[in-house]
Amino acid sequence: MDMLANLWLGLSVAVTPTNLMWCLIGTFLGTAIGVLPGLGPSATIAMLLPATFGLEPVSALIMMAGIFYGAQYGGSTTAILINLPGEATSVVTAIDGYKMARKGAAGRALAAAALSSFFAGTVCTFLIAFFAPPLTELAFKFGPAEYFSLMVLGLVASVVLANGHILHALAMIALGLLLGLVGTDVNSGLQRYSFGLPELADGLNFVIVAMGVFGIGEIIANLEDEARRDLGVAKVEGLMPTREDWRRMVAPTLRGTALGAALGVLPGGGAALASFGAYALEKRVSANRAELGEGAIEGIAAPEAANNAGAQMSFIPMLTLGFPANTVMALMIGAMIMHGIQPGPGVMTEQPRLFWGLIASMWVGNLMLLVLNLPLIGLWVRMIMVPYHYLFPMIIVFCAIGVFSLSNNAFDLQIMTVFGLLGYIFKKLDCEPAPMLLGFILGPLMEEFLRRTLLLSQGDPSVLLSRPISAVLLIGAAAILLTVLLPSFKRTRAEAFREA
Amino acid sequence: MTRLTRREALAATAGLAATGFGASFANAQIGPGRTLTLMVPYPAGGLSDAIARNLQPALQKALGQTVVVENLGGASGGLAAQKLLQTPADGRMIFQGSPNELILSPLVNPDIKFKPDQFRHVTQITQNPLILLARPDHPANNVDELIDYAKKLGKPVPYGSVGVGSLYHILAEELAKQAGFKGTHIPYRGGAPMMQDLGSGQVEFAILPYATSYKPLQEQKKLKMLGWVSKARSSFIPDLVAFGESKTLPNFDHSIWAGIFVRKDTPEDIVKKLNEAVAEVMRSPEVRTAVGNTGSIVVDTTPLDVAQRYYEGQVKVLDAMTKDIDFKV
Repeated sequence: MDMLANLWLGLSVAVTPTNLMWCLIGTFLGTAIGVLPGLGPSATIAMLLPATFGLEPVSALIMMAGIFYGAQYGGSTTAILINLPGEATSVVTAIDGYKMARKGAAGRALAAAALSSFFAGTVCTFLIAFFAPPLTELAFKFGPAEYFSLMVLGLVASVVLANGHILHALAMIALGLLLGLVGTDVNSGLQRYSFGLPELADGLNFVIVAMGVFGIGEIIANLEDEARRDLGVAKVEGLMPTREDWRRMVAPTLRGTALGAALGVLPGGGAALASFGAYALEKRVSANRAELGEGAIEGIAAPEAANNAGAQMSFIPMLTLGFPANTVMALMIGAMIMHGIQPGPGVMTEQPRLFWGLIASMWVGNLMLLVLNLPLIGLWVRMIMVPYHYLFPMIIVFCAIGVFSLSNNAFDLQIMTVFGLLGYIFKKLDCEPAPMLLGFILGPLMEEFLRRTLLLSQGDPSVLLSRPISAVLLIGAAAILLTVLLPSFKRTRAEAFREA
Repeated sequence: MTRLTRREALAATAGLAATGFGASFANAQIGPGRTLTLMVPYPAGGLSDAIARNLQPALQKALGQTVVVENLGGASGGLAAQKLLQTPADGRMIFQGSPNELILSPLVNPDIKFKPDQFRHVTQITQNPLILLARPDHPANNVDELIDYAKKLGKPVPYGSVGVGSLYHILAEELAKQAGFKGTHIPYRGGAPMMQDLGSGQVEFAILPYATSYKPLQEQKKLKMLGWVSKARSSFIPDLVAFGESKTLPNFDHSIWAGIFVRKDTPEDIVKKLNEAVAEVMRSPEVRTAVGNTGSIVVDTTPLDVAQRYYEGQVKVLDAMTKDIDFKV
C-alpha cells in the first residue's frame, strides 16, 4: 500500500501543469534530436543544463529524463526511414526497419516501434517503482568476471545478426573488435592505434562510426544505383499495423521487455546488449524467424521494447545510489548537484517528491511520446517520399552538424567521411555492418572486464568458471556456439561429399 | 528558412560589435572589443563545466567584455590544453584546469607534447578534500588499520582508481610505498564503475575527492570511509578522522584543486588584470554559493607570485611521486 501512496504522490507531482509542460518539452525535444542524426541526448542535455538553473529541480530532471527516452524513440525513426541509427540501441532496428520502409511499410514499422516502446516503458516504470532497491542489489552480484561472461554470451548470440555468410559476420565482428581497440588502454594508459593523434586518444566515437558506415555509406550506394534512389514508396501501405501485425508483435514485445529490463539493471554495459540480445533471441525462438532480416515486424518490436526497457531501468542505480549508468545519468546527477541536491541513497527518503515525481513522469512521458509520435508517422513517411536529390544533401548536412556538435572538432567529420567510404565498400563486399558495430561496442568492454578479472585474481583465469553466475553465462555461450556451428559443419561436410 | 538564418546571423554580429564598442571604455579589457574564451577541458555537463558556467556571467561583468565557455574534451583534458598553446599569448583564452590535465596528463600520455611549465597559473579557484574509502565490510576503521591489514594480507592489495596516471592512482601508490605494502592498481573509466566494484568488495580501497553521497552510501553499506587524506579533519564530516591523527602517515596531506591558467608568455599586465578580475568574481557571494553547491570549496584567490609558487611546488611534488611509478605495464 505504501508503494501506491508513493506512486500517487509521484503522479500528483508529475501532472501539475508546469511539470506536464516540462515533460512535454523534454519528450518533444528528445524526439526531435533523436530524429536529427548525430546530435544525441547527452549533447543536448549538456547544452540545456545551464538553462535549467532557474527551474524547480524536479521539473529540470523531468525534462532531462524526457529528452533521454524521447531520443530513444526518435533514434529508431531515422534508423527505420533512412537506415541511420543515431544511437547504439537503434542499430538493430535499422536491419528490419529499413527493409520494411523500402517495401513501403515504413508507417507500420514506425508504429510497431512506438507501440512496443510504450509497452516496455510502462512495464519498467512499475518495475522501478516497486522493485528499485532489490534490483539495485542485483547489480552488486555482478563483478568484472560476470560482466565479461555476459559480454561473451552476447557476442556469440549475435553472430546470427547477419543474414549473409557466417564467415562475413565473424570477420565483421573481428573488425569491430579491432576498431574498438583504438584509444587509450585503460590498464596501462598507453595509446593504441592512435597514430600520435591526440584526437584519437579517447578512441573512435560510436555515433561517428555509425553515421559514416550506415548513413553516408547508404547514400553513396543509393546514388550509384538509379533504381535504388527513389525509395519506391509510391506504394505506401497503411500507416497503422494490421491485425496480423498486432498478433505477431505481442510475443516479441514481451520477450524484449523482459530481456531489456533484466540487462538494463546492470550498469556496467548491460543496456548496450539489450537490443542486440533481443534480436538474437527472436532469431532463435520466433515463429517467423525465417523472415527476420528481410523486414519482419518482430525484428522491430523486440529490440525496440528491449532498448526502451533497458534505458528505463538504467535509472535505477542513479536513483537509488547516485551511480550513473551512462553519460545521460551522469548529467542528471550533475543537475542535482547544481540544484544543491545530494545524489545518492538519500534522495529517496529526503526528496520523495522529486524521486517519485520523476518516476511517475516516466510513464506520463511515455504516454506523451505515443500520442506525439503516432500522428507524426504520416509526416515521417511523407518525408522519405521527398525526391532523393533533395533528401540526401539534407541527410549529409544533418549528419555533419550532429557529428561536429559532439566535440566541436572538424577532425570528427574526416573520420565520418572515412567510415562512409568504408560503409560503401562493405556494401559492395556484401558484409553487413551491424555485427561490426556490436563488436565495436562490446570489444572494449570485454577486454576491460577480462583484464580487470585477471588483475583481481592475480592472473588466474579459473575464476571465470568458479564464480557461479559467470560459469552459467559461459556455458550458455558455449551451447549457442555449438548449435550455430554444428549445422554449418554438417552442411560443409555434405557439400564436400557431394563434390567428391 | 535561409533568410531567417541570415537575419539571425546579422543580428548576432551586430550584437557582438555593440558589446565590443560599449565595453571598450572599460579599463580592464583583455584585447579590447574582443571575446574572451574560458576553456573547459571536459565536455559540457561535468563538474568543471558547472563551475565555469557559474563563473562566466560574473567574469563578463568584471572584465566588461563578452566571455564564452568552450568545452573541448579529450585525452584527459590534453586536447584543450594543446589548443590553448596554439592560440596567441594575448590572454584572450583562459584555461580552467587542475593538476590532472596540466601536470599529470603530459607525464602519462606520450602523445601529449606540452610540459607543465608552458602554463602560467593566474590563481587558484577551488579545492576538494580527498577521502580514503574502503569496501563496506572492510575490517579496518582507519588508515593505520588498513595498513596493518595490507601488510598481513600476503598478496598485493587491489585498489581502484579513476584511471592510470590520475592523481588518485598516484596518491594510492604513494600511500602504499610510504606504508611499506604492495598494491595492485585496478583502473576504471571513471568514478561510477569504480564505486560499483568497491561496493561489491572487488577492490579493497580507493582515494577519491569528497562527495556528499558518501555518508548515505556508508549507511547503506556500500562503502566505508576511513579518513580524510589531510592533516586536519574537514568540516564536511567533522567526526571522520584525518590522516594527521594516524601513527603511520601523519604527514600525508593532499587535495585536488582547480585554477585559472594562461600561456606562460602572456604579457604581465594582462595576467595581472585577469588575476584581479577572477579575484573579484570569486569574492561575489552568488558565485561562492553556486560553486559551493557543486561540492567544491571556494578558496580565496591568491596574488600572482603566490599562485605561481604554489603551481611550481605542485609540479615538483607530483613529478617526484610519478617518477617511482612505472606506467608501462
